[in-house]
Order: sequence, then C-alpha cells, then structure tokens
Amino acid sequence: MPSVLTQTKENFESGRRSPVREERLEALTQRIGRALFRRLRSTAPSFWRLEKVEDSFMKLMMRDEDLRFRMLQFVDVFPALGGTRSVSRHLEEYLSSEEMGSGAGHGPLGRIARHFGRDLPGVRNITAATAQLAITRMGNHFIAGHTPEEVAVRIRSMEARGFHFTLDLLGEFVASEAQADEFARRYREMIEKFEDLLGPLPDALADQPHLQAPPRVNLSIKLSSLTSKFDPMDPEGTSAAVRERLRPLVRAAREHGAFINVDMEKYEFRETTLRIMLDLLDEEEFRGFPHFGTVAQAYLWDAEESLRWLLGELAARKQPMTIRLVKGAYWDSEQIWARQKDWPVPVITDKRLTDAMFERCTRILMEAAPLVRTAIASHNVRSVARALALRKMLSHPPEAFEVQMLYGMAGPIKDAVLRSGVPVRIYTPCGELLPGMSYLVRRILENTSNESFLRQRFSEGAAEEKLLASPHEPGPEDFEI
Amino acid sequence: MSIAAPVHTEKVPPFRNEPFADFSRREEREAFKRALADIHARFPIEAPLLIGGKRVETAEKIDSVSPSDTSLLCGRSASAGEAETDKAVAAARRAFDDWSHTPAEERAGLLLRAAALMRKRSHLFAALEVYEAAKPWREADADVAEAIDFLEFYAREALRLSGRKRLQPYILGEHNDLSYHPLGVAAVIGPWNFPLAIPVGMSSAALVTGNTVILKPAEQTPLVTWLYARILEEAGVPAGVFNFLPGRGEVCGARLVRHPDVQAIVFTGSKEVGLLIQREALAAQQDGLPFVKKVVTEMGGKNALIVDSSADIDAAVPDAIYSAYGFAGQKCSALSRLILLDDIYDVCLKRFQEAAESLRIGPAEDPGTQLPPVIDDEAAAKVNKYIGLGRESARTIYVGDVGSLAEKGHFVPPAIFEVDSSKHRLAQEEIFGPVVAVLRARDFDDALRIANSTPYALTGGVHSRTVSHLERARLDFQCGNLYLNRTITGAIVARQPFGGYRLSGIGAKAGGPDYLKQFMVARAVSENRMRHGSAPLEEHATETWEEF
Repeated sequence: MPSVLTQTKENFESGRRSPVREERLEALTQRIGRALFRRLRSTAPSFWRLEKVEDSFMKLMMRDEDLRFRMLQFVDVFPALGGTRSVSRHLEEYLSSEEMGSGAGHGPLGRIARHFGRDLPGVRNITAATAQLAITRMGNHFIAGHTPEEVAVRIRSMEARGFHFTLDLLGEFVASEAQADEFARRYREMIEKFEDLLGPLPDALADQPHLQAPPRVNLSIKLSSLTSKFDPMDPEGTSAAVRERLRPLVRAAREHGAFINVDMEKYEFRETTLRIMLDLLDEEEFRGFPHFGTVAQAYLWDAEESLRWLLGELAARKQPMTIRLVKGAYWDSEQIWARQKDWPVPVITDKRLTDAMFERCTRILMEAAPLVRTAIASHNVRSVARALALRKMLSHPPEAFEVQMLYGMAGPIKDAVLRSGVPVRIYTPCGELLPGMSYLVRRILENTSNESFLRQRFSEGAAEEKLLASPHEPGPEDFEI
Repeated sequence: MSIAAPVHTEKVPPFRNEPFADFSRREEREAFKRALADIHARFPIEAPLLIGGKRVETAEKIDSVSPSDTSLLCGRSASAGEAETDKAVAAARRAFDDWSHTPAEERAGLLLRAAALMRKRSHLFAALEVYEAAKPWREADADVAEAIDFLEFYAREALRLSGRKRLQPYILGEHNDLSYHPLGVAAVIGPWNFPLAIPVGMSSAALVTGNTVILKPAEQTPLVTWLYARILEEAGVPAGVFNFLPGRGEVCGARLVRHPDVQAIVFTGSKEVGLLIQREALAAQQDGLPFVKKVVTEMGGKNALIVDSSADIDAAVPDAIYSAYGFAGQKCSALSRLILLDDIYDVCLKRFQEAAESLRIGPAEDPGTQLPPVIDDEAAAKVNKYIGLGRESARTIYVGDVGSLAEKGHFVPPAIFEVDSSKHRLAQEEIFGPVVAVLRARDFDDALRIANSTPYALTGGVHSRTVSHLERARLDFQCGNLYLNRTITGAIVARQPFGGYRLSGIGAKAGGPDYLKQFMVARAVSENRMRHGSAPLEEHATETWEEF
C-alpha cells in the first residue's frame, strides 16, 4: 500500500457523521432493488438473448474453461489476421493443438461440433466463417464505431433516449512520443469538434435540468496515452511529461465546454495518475477547474484508504471533482502480474468483499458532496440500488449524482435506472478493432466470468433475492462495515 | 576446519525467487534514494585484495569511475601482480583439503547466510551498481535479486547432489554408489555487466561444491564485487577458501589461467577473451600438468527477435525496445538483430524507430533514464565505430544524439540500421551497445534461416500468435534461451536456466540443474559384500538416484 496514502490521511476532513441507520438503508436498498428488477424483468439485454451465433459461442465458452481460454486467445489475434484463409488456419491451430491426445471428437473442435449439433468435418468448414462473423459482431457490439462520425450517429440515438455519454478513444499502446502526440491530437479534435458532429441537444436531455451544468461532451482519457515515458518509478518526470500534453487539452476543454475524465489503469499506475492530476490542478491556471473527473477502483484492498486520501486532497484544495466508482477492469491481469512477480495481489479476489468495498466507497463518496460528484459505474442492480437508497437517505444533491454503464452492456438495466429518474452516462469506446482488442477481451472476460452479475442474471436466471443480498454478511474473513 | 552453523537439509524451505523491488511504491523509491545517497557518501570506496583471509594492499591501484559522470570517482581497487596472484593460488590450494572435506550442509549454510546478509543490504548493493556500472535502478535491483537467487539455488542444489547415491539395479552381494567431489582450485573471472550476479553465481557454485576460489572481478566494477567478498567474510568463509583478486586481466587474469595449481577456470565475458582462455589453458597443459584444466566460458551473442504479422505489435515493439536498449545493449542476451517479416516490415519498423527516438538518454541514477551510458571509453569507441560502419554500408534508419552528455560520461546514441544481408558485419558481429540491425524476411522459414546465420547461439525470440510458427521456432531456432512473445533478456534463476552454445559459450546453464556438476568429478564405488556365500540382505536401498 503506498505510504503516500497513510502519510496524508490526516488531511482528510471526516468531520461529518452520517445520521443514516444501517437497517433502514438496507430495507430501502432492497425496495429500490426490487423496483429496478420489476422494470427489467421483461427484457434481457441483446447480448444475453442467446439467439445469435456469437451469443451461442459465448454460452459455450462459459461452460468450457479450456475452450474459453482458446477462444480468447484467438479473439486476441483475430484483428491482426488478413483474410479468411489466415483466419481459418489460425482458428484450426488454436482449436486443434493438443487435440491428438484427447482422442478424436473430444478435443476443442469436437466439443464445438457437439454444441452446434454438427459432425467434425462439418464444423471445421463452418467454424472460421462463423468465428469471423462472431468476433466482428462482438466488436461492433462493444465498440460504438471506428470513427468519430460513426460514433456520433450512435450517440445521437442514445441521447435521444435520454442517455449521456463519455467517449473513450481506443488506440495503440503508446511506446513513442509520436503516438502520444497522435493521441493528444485525437483527444483535442474530439473536444473541439465532437459537439458539432452531434448537432443540437435532443429534448430528452434538455428535459433534465439538473444536468445542464456539466458539459455535454465528456471525454475519458488514459494518462499513459499521453507519454511514452509513463513510469511509476519516476513520478516527477512522468508528471512533467504528461502535463505537457494534458495542459492544452484542459485549456481546450475550458474553452469549448468539455469534461475530462482521467481513467484508471493498472494498480501500479494509480498513485502516479492521481499525482499528475493534482499537480495539474495545483497550477494557477487550472485551479478550481470544475469539469474534471477521475476513477476509484473498488476491487483494490486499499480502495477505501486511497479514496479517503484523494477526498482529503480535494477538500484541502476546495477542488470540485467527479469521481466514477468502478469495481475495476484489470482483475484478471492484476492477479497474474502480481503472482509472476511474487508481489502482494492488490485486488480483492472474493466477489462478495469487492461488492462490500464498492458500497463502502459509495457512501464515502456520497458523503463528500457537493464538492464531489458521484458517478456509480456498475451493472450490478444491488450496487446501484444501494447508491440510490443512500441518495435518498442522505438527501444527496441530485445534480451531484449519476450512474454510468458500458456501451453494449446491460441495456435493460440502463433503461430501468433511467426510468427511475437518475441520469445515466454510457461509457462509449470509439476506434478500430485492432487497437480495441484489449478492451474487447476485457469485456468478454467480464461477461463470461462466473462472478458476472449479468451472466448470473440473464444467462443463469439467478434469483433476485440472491442478486440483491447484502454483501456485508458477517463472516470469518469479512471486514467491518 | 568447520563453520559454526551447518544447515539442516530438511529445514531448508523450497527455492523461491527473490522478488524485485516494487518502485511504484513510494517507500521503496525513497529507500532507494537513501541508498544512493548513502553509497555516494562513502565514495571513494577502497577495495583491497583478500588473500588467505588477509586484506592486502598494492602500490598500483585501479580507479573505478562512474560511466554516467567520469569525474565521479566511486573508489579504487588494489591491483594484483603476478606475485599476489601466486600467493592467492597458494592460499586457495592450502585451504582446499579442509574445505573439500567440509560437509555439504556446512558449505550450503555459508551460501544461505550470505544470501540473507545480501538481502538485508540489497538497496545498498544495487545503489553501488547504479554508480559504478551505470545500471538503471530496475536493472541494478534485478542484478542483486539474481545474485541472491544464485546463492539460494546453488545451496539447495549442493544439498541435492551431496552424499552417496546407491546405483540401480541392485545386485545381491554387490554395493554400487556414486558421489560427487570437488575439482580443486577454481579461478573465477567475472564480467562488469552483471557485476554482482554473475561473479556470485560462478564463485558460489564453485565454493558450495567444495572447491576453493580466486575471484577476479572485472576491472571496471571491482567495488560491487568487493561488497560480495565482504558478505562472504561476514558469513564466515574460512581463510583461503575464498580469495578476492582485483587486477588487470592481462596480468593476474592471464597468470591465473596458466597457473599449474588452478584446475578450473570459469569465465564470463567477451568471445575474444573466452577463446583466448581456452587456448591458454590448453597451452599450459604442455608443462606436464597432472590434470586437464576445466574451462567454463559464457561468451557473447548476436541475438535476434523475429516478429511476424500475427504478432501483437503493441507488445512486440516495447519488448524489442527493452531487449535492445534496456542496459544500453550491454547484456549478453540483448537484442541486436530485429528480423521482421515482409508483410509487417514497414509498420513494425516505423513503430520501433519512433519508440527508439523517444528513449530518454541520461545518467543511470536518474529514475527517468531509459538509456544509460556504456561502461567505458573503449566500449563507447567500439559502438561509435560500428555506427560509422552502419552509416557507410547500411541504410541508416535512426542514429540518436547524445548532445552534451558525451562530455560528461560514456554516452552513445541509440542506432538502427537496415541491412540487406544476414552476412553484413552489423548482423554478424557483437557490438555490445545500443545498435540494432534490422533484417527483412520473406517468410517465417527465411526468418529462422537469418536468425541462425551467426556463429552465436545465446538468446532468441519470436513475437507471433501463430501456433505453428512458435512450434517451428522451438524446433529450429538455434539458441540456448528461446523467448516466445516476451522480452529476450532477463532470465530468472531456476525458471529460465541461462546459457548458450556455439561461440556463445561452453558449459551448463547457469541457474539450472546441471550447473554444479561442472565443478565436480563423479566417483563410482563398487564394493563386493559377499563373504563365502554370505551377503547382507539389505539389497533394497532407501536412497535412489534423482536424475534430471
């Protein structure tokens, strides 16, 4: 745990004590949760209707760990392959390696054949074309478009239904200054021109008076895309290099009325990322800039400590900020990295404890209003219901709250939350499939994971009571809430 | 002679690699900065000779300056002449009898204590490497971790190989066993590029198997290696068992190689010196020596990374950059040839070039430095000579600019040249600097042909997500360490036993299961236990032979 957190913890002004009683909060959470479930009972999100061929592939991957691994590896290489022949050859290799030992028909291809009710030669012929189609469609499902123009079309229709957006530009890993320049250029172009592409604000949004304050164009950026020298070993140098490219973006955002959210990446980068942001806000020119946001990742063991530290830093500066609370997107990678290095695993590996941490952080965030705007980013009805319950009981200022969800996921939940009168912002990725592949693989990992709320709800039909259960059950390994 | 604390074999926990420092943690960074200040405050460090347990000064000294700032004198070492060299060999020879009869448990105990002491001071050791060898923080930290790994690993290996192993099949009335015994006096000649890990690995392997050792550190980095000698002293190495002998290669190194009482020569360094040692060792043979000198040499490489069109360029480019420029190309495992398949050539080369252009050149102590200076004047001159050759005879893709840094230290620019033949000198000769030759391959077979076209076979790599290409590489890529879809440097003890063949060296892999056997001879004993028809009925031995 970075000592920076403990050292500055005393800065945190935690004077306010909440009057909310736990039992009432839990009862209200359950009530709101059941209401949300009633709203979404009728429809499953398109992704989980399991009709299309890609959905069928997903279903197979959930049943078969070995196949899931092989298919994810194949999905990973897919956009680099040119032409059907190459796709076909690679798929064959990915699915047939080590098949000899397992006996004809029992290898991965055999299992696919059985799943689709075909014989082995038959499945060989159809698999490449099917996989190609499935992956392209999955890409289109999770990535809103290749170009800003394409994405603008999708966003216009989202806005017409009452949703807000934040744009995420997919791109190459930044290994050079030229690539960092290119990212900065694309970010800047979005800040300056994207509103023109969108046209006038639709009525559905104009009707939400409390959301007129934050800008319409909302950009989520990764600081590691702004320098080839992002190295947590050298936070000073990294901060200087990143701010060099960040300053013009924030100036443009100020001028054009856009919002900039600094996304979180891997754990190793967190402290440096927060530091860069605060360094920038300490510069005279940017002091108090209101349209700035960042992310707290609840799946980290030190999530609460880090969040309290950040809130303390913001309070000391009277710096307003929107904080998006997520569980975190690098759960699998963080565990592998840590184990390879024999470092402590920074992420909570118990799903229930992660959910509990999310709810603790929700409350800490919401108690920091109005200086801090809270964005609850989760597809988990229980997590969202808890935040909505707190919002009511804390008399939380409505303009300081929103829910965020990912493009292409949890459609009915988005609708249900929106219809309950809460603003919903959709995290919308834009870019080509090749650089977007790591994003796509993370989404597939998430959707097919045993722990996925969406999988449990829409694919496995888990009971509402189970899905709404409080994660704060006392248990031997539990922590106090 | 005996050391106080032998280890109990059953109490030694399984081997585990020493974790690297996590410099994303503030307290780790601050601890390291304190270590840098601490070691800096101790400059100049004086490193004497250590002969027969006594520190010995010499009139001649060898200055050790920082490659990042040649005005910074890190310290001075003594410089052994022929007389001191002979004394060291004599001391080692005197100590051999007792040491070779010391139980393996005690010898292993010495290594484990040394590992614990080194772990306690790992930042201080690494900090000295930052100044003396111009190793960037992570590289220096990794070198110390590897040194600790060698001590821990070889201690366990020595225990595994110790004792008499009953041989199968068991025959009534006949007892057959095999055991390993040390060679004698071992001369260990270390390199400057891993100034701790490699001397520690080579010498601890010799020590733990019962040999006595004379360790000659590289002239450029005697101080780091001296810290290791200090650790061994503290851990209780008996007088004469370990002797530390800094000096000029052509004086004390040459004398050690030819000395009639030196039975094993263990060397890591350049191909030229390695081959010279082979010849000299053989020449010494003519003087009626009662044994054949055992020579173990780890030499250079001309290591290639192949990238095909199924590769993840986002991973391949940073991996190639780090492998080529990580320690200014001064690892024997460093990438010096980048082989790109035709259909990805332009895209990949452009990304690689832009990434190289973005490297931050600077002193090793600056945590933002990505490309540190090379070790000395001679190394810088060699690199610049090859850059000149590249400009004349190859297509220059990129040659960086070190600006005014050149006046401060041994800074050289990163360089990339495109060559059209695998025969080109830039694609054949080891430069040991930040210079990469890029070659175009028609297809994967062609790429392998190019990769295998040098006399070296040390490391190699493939970035590909085509299963059949990876399989081909496993079969046909001629190199001691093949890395698939990762960097081609940074071997970890036990996980990636390290070493090459062809002109990259002769000997078993360091940090692997065969390494210690090089320092020993095996003896088989067969005893007839039958006396006029009576034989013991204990013919099911409890101990079986664990063979790798």
